[in-house]
Amino acid sequence: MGKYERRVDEVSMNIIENITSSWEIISRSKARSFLTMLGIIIGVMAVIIVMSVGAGAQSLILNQIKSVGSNLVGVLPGSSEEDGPPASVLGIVVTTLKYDDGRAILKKGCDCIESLTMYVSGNETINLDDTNVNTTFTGTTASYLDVEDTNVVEGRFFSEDEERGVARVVVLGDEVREKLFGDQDPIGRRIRIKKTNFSVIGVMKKRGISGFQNQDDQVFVPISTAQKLLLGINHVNMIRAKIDFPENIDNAVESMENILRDRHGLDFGEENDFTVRSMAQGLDALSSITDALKFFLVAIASIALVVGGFGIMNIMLANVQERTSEIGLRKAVGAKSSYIVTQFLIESVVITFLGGVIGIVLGILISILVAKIAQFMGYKWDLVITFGSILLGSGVSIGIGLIFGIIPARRASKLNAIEALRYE
Amino acid sequence: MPTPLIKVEKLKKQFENEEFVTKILHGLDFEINKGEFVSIMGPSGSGKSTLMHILGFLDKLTTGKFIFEGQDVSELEDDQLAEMRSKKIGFVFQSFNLLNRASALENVMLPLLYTNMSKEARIKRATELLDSVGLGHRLHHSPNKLSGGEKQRVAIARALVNNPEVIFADEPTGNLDSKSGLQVMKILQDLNEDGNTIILVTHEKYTAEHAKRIIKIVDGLIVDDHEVGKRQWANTNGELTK
Repeated sequence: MGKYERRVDEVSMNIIENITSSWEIISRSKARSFLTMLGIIIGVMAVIIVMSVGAGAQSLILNQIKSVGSNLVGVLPGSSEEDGPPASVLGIVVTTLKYDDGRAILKKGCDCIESLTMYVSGNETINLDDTNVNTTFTGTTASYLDVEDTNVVEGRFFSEDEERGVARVVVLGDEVREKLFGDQDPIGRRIRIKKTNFSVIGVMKKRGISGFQNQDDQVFVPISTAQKLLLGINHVNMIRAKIDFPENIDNAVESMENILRDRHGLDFGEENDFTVRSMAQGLDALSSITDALKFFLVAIASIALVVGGFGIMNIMLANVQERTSEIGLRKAVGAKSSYIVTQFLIESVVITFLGGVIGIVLGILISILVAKIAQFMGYKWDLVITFGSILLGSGVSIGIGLIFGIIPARRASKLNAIEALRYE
Repeated sequence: MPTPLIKVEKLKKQFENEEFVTKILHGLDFEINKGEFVSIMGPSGSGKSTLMHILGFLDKLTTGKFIFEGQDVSELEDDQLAEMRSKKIGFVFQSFNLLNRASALENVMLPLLYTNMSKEARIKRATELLDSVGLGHRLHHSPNKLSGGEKQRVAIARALVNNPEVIFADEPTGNLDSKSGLQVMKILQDLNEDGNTIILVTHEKYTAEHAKRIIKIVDGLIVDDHEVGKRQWANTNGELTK
């Protein structure tokens, strides 16, 4: 056997012996070992939870957006920067978008626009005899069902004639129906919204939470009715168009912009007084925001790991002090400095790795618990535990053992054997 | 004439710091042959322990020559010194220096951790040696559960485990009652009878007289080097026999 091969053999045997011996040391003083690794356990656990919960929350947000439909293009009143939100989203009332704008887009826009709907909304108390329910009313068009890809489960939705003719008809969301009518049949009954009688003509399919709104806790009335009778306005809050294929979205956006600029009399170079956004753009922007947020949270959680690392270094330094006589003995019986370094490094790595494994297991369990609670509460929360986060957790814990173990290990190896042997 | 196992020429040792230079050994010359049982005797502060540390490759000399098995080993590097300790030297210390968290067997196996021996072979070798010092029934006891004499016998087994060329015993009876001390001396004498080279460091004339030869050091100088006329002999019961 060559000198190099023998050395490799010796070192590998040394590592295995050291791991076994470290394990024995850890298991002999369980409470102390546990406290030593607590910082790493908490740090790794925090990183795993933040990564998993972050990914879960991200999936929830993106699912919400996707559930509205990814081949939709929205038009909001007010201008906006390239990446920024339009003023109307920030709660500023902008009245530049009108019902006729929507009709014009549908009439003159590209063939790729399959259908189009418009929205206005407000909050109001709805009365049925003595029962009052505070809810959102949405004024929209007859094409709402097609654009939003939904349907009624009882009765019918309003017609185009009703949409334009200020008809006093209302379609109830599932929750509103439940609150007002319980088991009774609501179709044909009259309810009052803002002192005006409405005839219930239908009940919407249950949809749950979508687009950050509880779709079942609202009622739908024709847009003209909402504008004239309930809100006293003549603008719309949003226009939403359904495009036939995703690849036509750019065309649709361009044609919608051209029509609206023309209708609003905007000169060349003048800023749009509306904002056209496709859902895909929204998804991209939101993904990058949630990614940044996730990274930020992981960075915060990592601080716990660094603190844990210093804890390990502190304990390992005390350990070297406590075992001075042992180090002297090991040197006296032939241990080279490199063996002592290896021994103490392995001890700190075994402690941090073990802490990492416990942290990973706890992190996964808590992530599962969070996902279960979120799912129980009705959110579309995906449980995301990536192999990458487990690998990161183990890698980081080993890395911390090596980085924070090196100073104590080197201190141990530099001890003078004779003085160390005399140490009591 | 056989090559001496140990030969030192004009060996000097001094410790220096920023303020002081402390001279410990002032130029020693002597030889020790294989199979000898030598006591290095001297009062506290005479330099006998420093000499043992140099001869045991735990420390380096300042000037002079140290020849071991015919090779000049005066200027070895730290790793080379460690290798010499691992292969050629066995130590028995006054305070035993056993690892309390390890069993007697594991303590004896410790020096073999730094050799290329398999675990099975290490266990076999350590078990044999503990048997030979009469502790075959105490293999898995921790040092806390052993008497002082038993602890020192474990330490002797540990010193023998790597088949050393020399066994250094530094005041091996210093922490023992007289009976246990005599039992330990008996083991050392038996080992010497079997051909092992033993260097005993002590301040007691009576203990030193268990050896065949006494090198007496006072203030870093050899003041006497003579064969022991009337050796002290101990038996296994810890009693003196003349």
